[in-house]
Amino acid sequence: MDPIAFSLVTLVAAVLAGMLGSLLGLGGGIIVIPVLTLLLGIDIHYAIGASIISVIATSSAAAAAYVRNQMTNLRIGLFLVTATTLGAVTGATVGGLVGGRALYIIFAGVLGYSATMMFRRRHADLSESVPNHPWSERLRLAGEYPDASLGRRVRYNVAGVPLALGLMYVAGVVSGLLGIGSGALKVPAMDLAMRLPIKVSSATSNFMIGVTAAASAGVYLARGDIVPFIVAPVALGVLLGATLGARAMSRLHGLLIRQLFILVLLVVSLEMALKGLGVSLY
Amino acid sequence: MYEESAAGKAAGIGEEHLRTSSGREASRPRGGAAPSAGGPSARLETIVGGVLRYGVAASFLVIALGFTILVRATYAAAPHPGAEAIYPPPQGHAEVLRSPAEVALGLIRGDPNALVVLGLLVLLGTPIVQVAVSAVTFAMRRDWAYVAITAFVLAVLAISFLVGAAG
Repeated sequence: MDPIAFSLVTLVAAVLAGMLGSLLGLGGGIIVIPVLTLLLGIDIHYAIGASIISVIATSSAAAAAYVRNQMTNLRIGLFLVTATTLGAVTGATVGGLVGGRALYIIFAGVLGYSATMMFRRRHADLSESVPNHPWSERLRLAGEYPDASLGRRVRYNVAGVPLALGLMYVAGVVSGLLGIGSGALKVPAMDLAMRLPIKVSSATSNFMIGVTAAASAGVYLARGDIVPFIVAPVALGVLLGATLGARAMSRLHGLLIRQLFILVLLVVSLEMALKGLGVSLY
Repeated sequence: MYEESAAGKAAGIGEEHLRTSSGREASRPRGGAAPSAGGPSARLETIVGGVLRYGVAASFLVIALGFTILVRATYAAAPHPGAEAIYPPPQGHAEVLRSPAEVALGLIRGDPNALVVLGLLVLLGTPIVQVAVSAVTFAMRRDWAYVAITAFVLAVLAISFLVGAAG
């Protein structure tokens, strides 16, 4: 394939991945890997390497805007990344020991479950007032954020902290193993376990994804899975897309974000299940 | 339900007045259980946001520059390059750099791949620097719980690079 054609296709796809990723609190890796492997026929190892970089790009570009918009709960994010980074190092180190196919099936199952749970909660636009978990009191995790679509500041409490920690460890392991951001696991964990408003979950997830990905990126670099010609257009496109997507975030209604997310979860879940069952699309 | 203090009225021992990024004044009990903005203060958020924005902008410029030179060099080497220009061996003959040391050597050689990877390393650094800045700011505010939390995260990140180098 002609390198310039490759670069242009990759760049456009990466911009879209960045926009979608920053809007949904994902790392964009869930879109980058299929595009690179299915559409452009790139070896999956290089796609994973590009993906881990795109994950950091989405997170940092979007987080820059979110922190200014006060959506990100920095305390929750920092507290939870203790678990995700441990998981990521575990996952990247364990690496080739776990059968990839089994993992895809497990991941597909978790995504499908998350999509179902989020679908059930789709009408709960604001989290109903939830009692603060004792850990949340101790660590001052509760907060508030400005919702442009509702025109006021929304206060929220934080439930289920230990459960969220456990889920975050698992999300970290998956991130290290598959080279993705695992936002698809992080956002539901915050939405369902901690009962955070969806916009806070997405914005905080963006922050966490970058730190988690940094914990596994070093491993991929040393393995030689970071190929400059492939990763460069991915990084550039995702940086652009995520910056644009973040600006739109506070204007979108929470319900729309949640519906978009459920759709993405279902599609990816199906993709993963097919791969795990040996129906190789890649 | 957003609470505002009366303008200019000190709220008492243990409270502090903050200016939020929208310019309104708020009082927040220090270390108490009442909900805050989710971050220690608007100021930390500004600093962290700045680190991210400059890091992202710098990495974008470096990667863009490096990639432009790389594309030019690829087409200068062969008029109609194919996929082998993109991939590393065994599929192709593209270069792959695996460590900051190799990047440094590559830069000295004038290898555009090294410039691209340098930009990627800057990008990789943005979340790490962000956590480090948070740690320092928490220390300045004597928020020891969060100093411990951020120090732990930095330790895990440091270990991850060692594991990567060894693995």
